[in-house]
Amino acid sequence: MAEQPLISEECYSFKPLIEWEQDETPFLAGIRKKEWDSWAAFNLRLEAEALAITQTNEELLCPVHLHDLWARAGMIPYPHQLETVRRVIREMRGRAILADEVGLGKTIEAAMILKEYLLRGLVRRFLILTPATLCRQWAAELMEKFQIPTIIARRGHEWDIYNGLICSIDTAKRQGHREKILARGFDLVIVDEAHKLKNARTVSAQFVQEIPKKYFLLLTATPLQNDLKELFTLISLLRPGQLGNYRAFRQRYVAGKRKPKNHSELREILSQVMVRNKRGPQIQLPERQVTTIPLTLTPPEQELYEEVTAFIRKEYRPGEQGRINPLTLITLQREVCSSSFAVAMTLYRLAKNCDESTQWRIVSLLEKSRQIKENAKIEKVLEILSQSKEKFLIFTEFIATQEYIRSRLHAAGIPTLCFDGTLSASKKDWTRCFFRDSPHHQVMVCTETGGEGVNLQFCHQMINYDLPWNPMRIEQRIGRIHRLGQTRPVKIYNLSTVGTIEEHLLNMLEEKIRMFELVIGDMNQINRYLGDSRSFEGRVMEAIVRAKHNRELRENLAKLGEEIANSLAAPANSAPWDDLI
Amino acid sequence: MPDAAAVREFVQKALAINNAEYRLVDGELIIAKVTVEHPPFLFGPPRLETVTLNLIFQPEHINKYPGAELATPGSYRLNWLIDGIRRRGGLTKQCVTYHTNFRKWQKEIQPLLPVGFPYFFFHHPKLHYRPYLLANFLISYRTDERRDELFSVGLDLVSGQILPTLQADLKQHTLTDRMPVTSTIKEEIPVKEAIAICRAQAEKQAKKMDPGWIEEARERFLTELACLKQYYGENRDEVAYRTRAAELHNKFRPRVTLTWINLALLYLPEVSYTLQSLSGEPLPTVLYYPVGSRIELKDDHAPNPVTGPRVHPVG
Repeated sequence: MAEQPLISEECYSFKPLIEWEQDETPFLAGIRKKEWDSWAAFNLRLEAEALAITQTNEELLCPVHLHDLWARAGMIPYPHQLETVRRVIREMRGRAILADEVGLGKTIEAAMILKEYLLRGLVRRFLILTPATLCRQWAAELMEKFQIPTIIARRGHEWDIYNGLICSIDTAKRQGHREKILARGFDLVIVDEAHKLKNARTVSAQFVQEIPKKYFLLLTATPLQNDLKELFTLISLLRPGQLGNYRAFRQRYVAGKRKPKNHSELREILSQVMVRNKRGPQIQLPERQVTTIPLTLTPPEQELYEEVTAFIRKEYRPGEQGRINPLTLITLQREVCSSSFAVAMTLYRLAKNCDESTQWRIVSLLEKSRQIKENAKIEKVLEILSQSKEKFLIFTEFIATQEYIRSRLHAAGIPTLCFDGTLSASKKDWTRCFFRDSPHHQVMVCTETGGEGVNLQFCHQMINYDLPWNPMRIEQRIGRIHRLGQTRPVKIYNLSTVGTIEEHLLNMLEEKIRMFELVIGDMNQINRYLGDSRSFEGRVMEAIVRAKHNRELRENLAKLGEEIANSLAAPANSAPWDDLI
Repeated sequence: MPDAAAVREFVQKALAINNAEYRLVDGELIIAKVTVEHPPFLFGPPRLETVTLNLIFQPEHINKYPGAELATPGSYRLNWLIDGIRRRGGLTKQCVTYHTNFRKWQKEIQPLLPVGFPYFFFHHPKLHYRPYLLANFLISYRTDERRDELFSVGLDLVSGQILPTLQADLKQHTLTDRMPVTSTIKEEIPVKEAIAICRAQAEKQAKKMDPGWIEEARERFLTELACLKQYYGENRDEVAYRTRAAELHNKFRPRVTLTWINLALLYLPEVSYTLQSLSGEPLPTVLYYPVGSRIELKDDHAPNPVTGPRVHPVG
């Protein structure tokens, strides 16, 4: 069989293609209809075109173009963002991984690059692929801060009509959308949360690779999580060949699954296609002011807490076929720290589904919880709110607690909004804007699932009504308001019920790990530690069930805290690629 | 880059042409009232609203006039005005107004005559209006970068002569939309054909470009292609490789895009003298075109006219 000839560069013509933007028909029609304008208008039109011509590729157009809009919106482009835009356009020719740490404005950088290309007339059709929950946020940011109108593609007809499209990656790769996207292609494609494409064999990664595009931006705060192969996949998706093929990459740069070699060379190659801005002396956020507010549970609450904890200690048998699922018991323990209303819901469901031997016990706990009409925490919340007229975010993990807070604040004459995962994307967007703009609504009660990825930096005060047992989720909460654009010190109030797991957990996070003072880089280290070891929730739960009394519980948790703190301090624990990116 | 004064001047003209009231404060701030059309929304009809604009042209004036908008090249407000002007001035029909002072004509013609031209008496001047087509284009040179330039071309609709500097030449003249009733020369090239000639001229201009930008883009393309080859190695016959290489080619290949800006049908004065030498011998007819300050000597016996040198007008 004859060898198939390879395609060489000679096949690609560089003879300029001369094309007309439009033909002269409108002019002929105008002459026929005698649509004559004045000589002054004729000349002014020419002057207008001369002014609109952009000859320079050196200076950025977008900061000048948007100067007034940004001034009105109070948005200041940071030097690191402008520098990133310059580098991506000049040096990287519009193909880059934007890998800034969380909260440093990757979205803003990507939007600035998009605007710059639109102003230069190099991009007309663009597509933004993002998780479904962030589609509206992207559309709003592009419109409000960059005057770029977009359409969120949902049904499929949009692909034929509009040039600026946002779509969730799951929708885009579905039949009916996929074919249209691949057939038309785009001048610029932006993929948000691009670490989801780290596996080259997934449908998403292959689909994104197939989209015809000129310029390409990948946005992720974690370009490298577990394996150097992930990095290879992302870079090759962006610019195939930058790291050679996989065999060459492995030979030259991989010492082990998580251990790179030829560090400086690899770092240099990565820097040609990746921009990673980190917090440091150049990029600083306002300080975090953390206040822990100790409070004592009312006697019925304390009694409920003790009895539920004793019940959990008895029933919790991880790894064994117990009567109650250990995960349900962990939830129950977290709920009893949150509110009597949250725990009542789970107890009710448990009572319906468990066997008779434990049912009477659960029903008695349920009865106890239902008799409690007031929680001590809410009084503290009212006290905090009375001290300031400014906006507050209250975070809780449970919908039942959220509803209780809302109704109590409402009864106290404080109009309150709720923000949770049950809201549709449009309601979330409306609630966020309403909370920002309404002078009457001082408080928004938020659950984690509701607040994920949402930017709320117009507010600078938050109350942790209850505490997630996962430090990353605490950081996620704080990250909603402690990010670029925040101009005031961020005030964090932690409610700590004396004599409960919450008190010891907070002590551990605050004193041992110094959780609230950490920057995101340290958080990644914690995350890695937690990822390597057993789940943090499981460890806390073990500490609870092993403890016979309160003091022992405190000691157990302190030990866990020390373990984490030691692992953070040990240089050997930092990832071998930390200095790579 | 146009300076602040040029931008301010443009803004003033744009406001004036739209009959907007405006006031210039200290040569730094323009306060203007403009009527803005809001597009229809759902079932609501479009509506007009009067908006006050406070425009400054230099960043130094931001603090001096708080709340004023900066109108600089590339700024939102200037682009807004430019977009507005783009709806105007697409077509015009004009006539250059010209004086009928014979002595002045003679003064203008004399320096344009070739050296050694016989002495003669000026008499029997005739003023005609000759039709021209003036077309302006935007030529964009695009690869993964873009560079734009304006191109202008004039065409004599009687002789078919191309006048590359017509747009610039007209700057020194006054034009009116009142057409001469008589003494216009009938065009011999139909407008449709004339437009095609101008179009061909623009394409010719586009082909004249400096090939440096193509070479640069080609080099960038080859760098990217070399990188791609490293990834695919020996599997370069794969469809994926071809697709990606074609994608790169599409990004870097040079394209020249031509866009019509506007078109003018013009009637320009032409003064003709039938001459006799001092000894009474017939001389070539002198055709004088005040726009562009050029003369043409038309010998009725000679097969081709002799064109005189282009000289800027005296005084």
